[in-house]
Amino acid sequence: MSTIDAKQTSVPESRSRWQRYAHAHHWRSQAEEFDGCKLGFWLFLSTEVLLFGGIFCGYTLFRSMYPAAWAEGSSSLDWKIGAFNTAVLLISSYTMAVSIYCIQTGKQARARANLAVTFLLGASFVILKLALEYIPKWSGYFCVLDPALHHHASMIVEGKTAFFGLFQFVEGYGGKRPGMLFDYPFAVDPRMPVWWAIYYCGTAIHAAHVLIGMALIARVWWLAGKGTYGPTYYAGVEITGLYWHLVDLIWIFLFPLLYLIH
Amino acid sequence: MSAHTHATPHAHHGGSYLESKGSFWTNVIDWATTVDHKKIGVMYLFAILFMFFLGGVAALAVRLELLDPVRAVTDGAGKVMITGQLFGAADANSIASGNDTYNVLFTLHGAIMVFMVIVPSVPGSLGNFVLPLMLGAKDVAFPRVNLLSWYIYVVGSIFAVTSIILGGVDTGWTFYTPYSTTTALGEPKVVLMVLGAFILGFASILTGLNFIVTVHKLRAPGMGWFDMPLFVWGIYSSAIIQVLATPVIGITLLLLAFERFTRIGIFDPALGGDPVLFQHFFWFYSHPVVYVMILPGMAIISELIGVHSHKKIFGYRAVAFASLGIAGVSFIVWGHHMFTSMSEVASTIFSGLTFLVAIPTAVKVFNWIGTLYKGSISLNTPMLYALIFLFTFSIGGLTGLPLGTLSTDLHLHDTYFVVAHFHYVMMGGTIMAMIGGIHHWWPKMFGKMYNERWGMIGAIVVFIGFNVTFFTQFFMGTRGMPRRYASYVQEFQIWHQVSTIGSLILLVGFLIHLFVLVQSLLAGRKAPKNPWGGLTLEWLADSPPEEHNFAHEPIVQCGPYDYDTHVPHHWDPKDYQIPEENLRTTAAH
Amino acid sequence: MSHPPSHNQPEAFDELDPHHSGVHADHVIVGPMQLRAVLAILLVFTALTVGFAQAEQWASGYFNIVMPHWVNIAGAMTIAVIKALLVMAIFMQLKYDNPVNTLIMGVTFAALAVFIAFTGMDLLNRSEVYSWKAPQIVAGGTGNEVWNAQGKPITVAARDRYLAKIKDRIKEHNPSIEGEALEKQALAQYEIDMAATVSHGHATHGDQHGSSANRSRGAHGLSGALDTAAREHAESDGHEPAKPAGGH
Repeated sequence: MSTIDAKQTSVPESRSRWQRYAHAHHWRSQAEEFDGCKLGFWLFLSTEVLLFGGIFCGYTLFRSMYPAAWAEGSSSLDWKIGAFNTAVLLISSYTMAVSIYCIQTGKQARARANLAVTFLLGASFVILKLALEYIPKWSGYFCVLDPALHHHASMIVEGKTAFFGLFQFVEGYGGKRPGMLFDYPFAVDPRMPVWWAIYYCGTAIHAAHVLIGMALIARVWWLAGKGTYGPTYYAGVEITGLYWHLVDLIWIFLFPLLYLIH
Repeated sequence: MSAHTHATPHAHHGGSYLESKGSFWTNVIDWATTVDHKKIGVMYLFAILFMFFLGGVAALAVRLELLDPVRAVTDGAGKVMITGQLFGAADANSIASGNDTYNVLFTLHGAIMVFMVIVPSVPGSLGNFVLPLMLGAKDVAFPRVNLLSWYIYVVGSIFAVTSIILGGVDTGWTFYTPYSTTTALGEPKVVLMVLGAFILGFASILTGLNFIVTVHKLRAPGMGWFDMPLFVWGIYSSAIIQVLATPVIGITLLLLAFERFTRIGIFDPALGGDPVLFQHFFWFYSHPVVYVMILPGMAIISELIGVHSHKKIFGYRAVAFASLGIAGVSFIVWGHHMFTSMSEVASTIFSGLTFLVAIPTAVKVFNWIGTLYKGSISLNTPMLYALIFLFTFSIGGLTGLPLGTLSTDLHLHDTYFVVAHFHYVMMGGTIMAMIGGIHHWWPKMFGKMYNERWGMIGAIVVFIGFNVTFFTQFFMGTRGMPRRYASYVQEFQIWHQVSTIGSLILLVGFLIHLFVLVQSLLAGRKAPKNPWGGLTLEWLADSPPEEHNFAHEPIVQCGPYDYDTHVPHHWDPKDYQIPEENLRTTAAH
Repeated sequence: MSHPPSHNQPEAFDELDPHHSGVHADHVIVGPMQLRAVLAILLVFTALTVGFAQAEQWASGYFNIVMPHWVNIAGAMTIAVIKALLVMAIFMQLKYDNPVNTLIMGVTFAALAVFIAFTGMDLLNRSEVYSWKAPQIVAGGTGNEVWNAQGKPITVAARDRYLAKIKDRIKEHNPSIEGEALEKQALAQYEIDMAATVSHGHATHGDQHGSSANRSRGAHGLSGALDTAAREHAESDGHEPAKPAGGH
């Protein structure tokens, strides 16, 4: 069967997995294999960039055509949540890079700890996005932790809470949903649905990438626990890292475009 | 699954990759889980030929419907009858349903032929099989990704075929909005077809990515960039386009699916979106992908003409750079599909840029002709197809000029002229090159020779059928016959009838090829290592190659077309005699 | 052609393999100090870009200094590009990597730029030759065509639904109110609620116009002069089907 899985058999079992790693037989050396893997993954990343390129293109052109709707739209997003989430992702990128450094220098335990932190930061990004952005916009239930809430103090419906009182209902705040679900009563600009279409497509596809990245991180965390990666072999961590940084990179652009420019 | 190291590749020496591994089911599992690029190439070849059959059936149905225009005639008793309708019963109420069937059929033909046949055809089958051999590599860079690509292709095709079973879609293969986002909203078939195309994009990306890394990293010792066969250059250039353009169709189709589900307004003007934006998104992918289709075809032709002329290819670097040039230009000309929907400013600029494509393309054609000049040509099926390609592709290319010219295009837009043009390029280009390539590498793939006489007869029949089918459509187009209609006015009937007869001749030609190849598999003469006298590395391997391609890693010692200084190895002139005086030979090194 | 003997040392290939020389990816180790420095710069730049946007709004709110729109966009995007370059160069190690990878990213961004620029060249120039073309797509794109189940445009339907809610609330407090008075009070409340929501995130903006908030903001996009026809249409009355915009 798969001859590319061929391993050198003469190496004693006592050594850990990364020391026993032998590159696939069609590569000339392990260095070549590592270089080739990275080249292939960079090509894959370029497809990711162009995938989001469609969103960025739509954003730019609709923005140019319907500036009022865009100004209105970005002002209904809370930059504080966006900025906080940006910081979360940047820090997670840092911990990812640190975990690669730790693997390279043979500190497997610290590397795993950093991978775990990266995973948790990714998870908190998604949770914050859901709790503070998607749920309020979808339903009108607003997390009371949100500092922006005081703008809506006059519109809070007393006694209407969800999630053990964590969320409170704000009259008319919900309804910023995409497409036919859109019923935002304050939408003075009739092209507001287009803004929300771009907002949801961009952030949802990005969030899906965060989830995929988290799955990849969980995988290398688990493999690292079995001693798969070490100073001479860490292609899996490196590639997961590249993917995670790309997710960060996309958000670096989405954040100012959606939250700051108006 | 024996363990062995990279250092002893000749442990398996002797076993052909086609060798049986045991019982029937052992073999099935072996093929289904193989990471061998040769087996994956063969699997791709058969999957693509099957889809080609499906798309071909749809095409024949379309042509048969057009044999006779749909019209109401009054019979002797004063009763109104509908004649000329192939689909639907012959009564006045069924015209609409018959037309719907026609719309579904041409959509299926287009979608299958583009997304499932021509785009993956050459890279998936011949590229997978030949490219690593040409580079002297044991496999592509990521063998498992390669297998994944094949499975993704199959899954995407299953989505599309499911959509056909559910009744098919009638959006045209271009899925233009807002029709595609509003038609048959309650049914899953449009989304299935769209997602099928989306999934097929991933297969394309993975194949392209694999080839780029293979070319960069796995060339044999001594093989510099300009020692690569031109086939590799062509595949490499098209792989760049695959990687850069395909993700955009991914996001486009994803947004289209979102728009159908939630009615978000990105492309539908009724929802605030912009339908021309969809066309830009679509053609930013689909125009470069036209070159994903034709570049591998050109790559094959460079090989066929070089090898079967037994002459150093004329202007190697020019052809190689022309491939890259086409890949580069392909990204800035997509607007010529949209002259009737775009703003005048953009139309003018795109029209001007479109003519840039002609330059590298003509460079290639002239270099091929220069290679043929005073070569020692062996006229066999592959060479015949190379000549057919030069004829049909040149017509296809030259008829592209009036379509790229803004003013003439406004007249010719969406007529049969366009249909004929792109069939001359896609079919007369890519499919002809691919059939030629299949015959060229058939001995290498399966270790059997095919019947040369019947191969050539098949090629001639295909050539006649193709031209009869499509050349007539140029006349119809200039006279204003629009595409995508089940019916037409009387004056076009003769043209349509000739065209339909041509398509039946084409069918006969393909059947001849099918029989030739099946006969070769069952009772073909065993193929020598190097039946054509090629100098590229794949002819150093056995026919069929052993599991790891080469007993030893080959070292490149001459360029791929150095016929003026080298005699091909394992060359058996008894099989294919070349006039000795035409071959300026010196002893190898 | 002679075949070389089988090699046990992969490195031996390199002598015969000149095109691979010098590009072996040595395992570059980016140290923690450098990573920390990059993280710090990234966070500072994030704060900077937020601060820039806030300062601009603050200035326009308190001092009525309205900066040109492109300042906002250019500032935010410059910072984003710097951040992205830092992430790619250090976190993704492009700086130390095989230059081919950098080339790939360069080609990718070039393709993306071509994609956006050429698409914009069309969509933003619709009125250049025939000005009546400008609102062609906008005509369908007013959102008025997005009918909901009751056959109303979704924005109008949402407004009516919200007015009904307000009326219910007013009636709870004052069951006797009816007819014109109810209508009037509901509309007044609607205006107040809308003003509150529109100024959300713009606390310092000082914008009390509520419903005209979009008008108070400059309607310049990336393209400025290129979309005059569409903009005039947007500003005139979004709720009316577009008429040919006349000459621009």
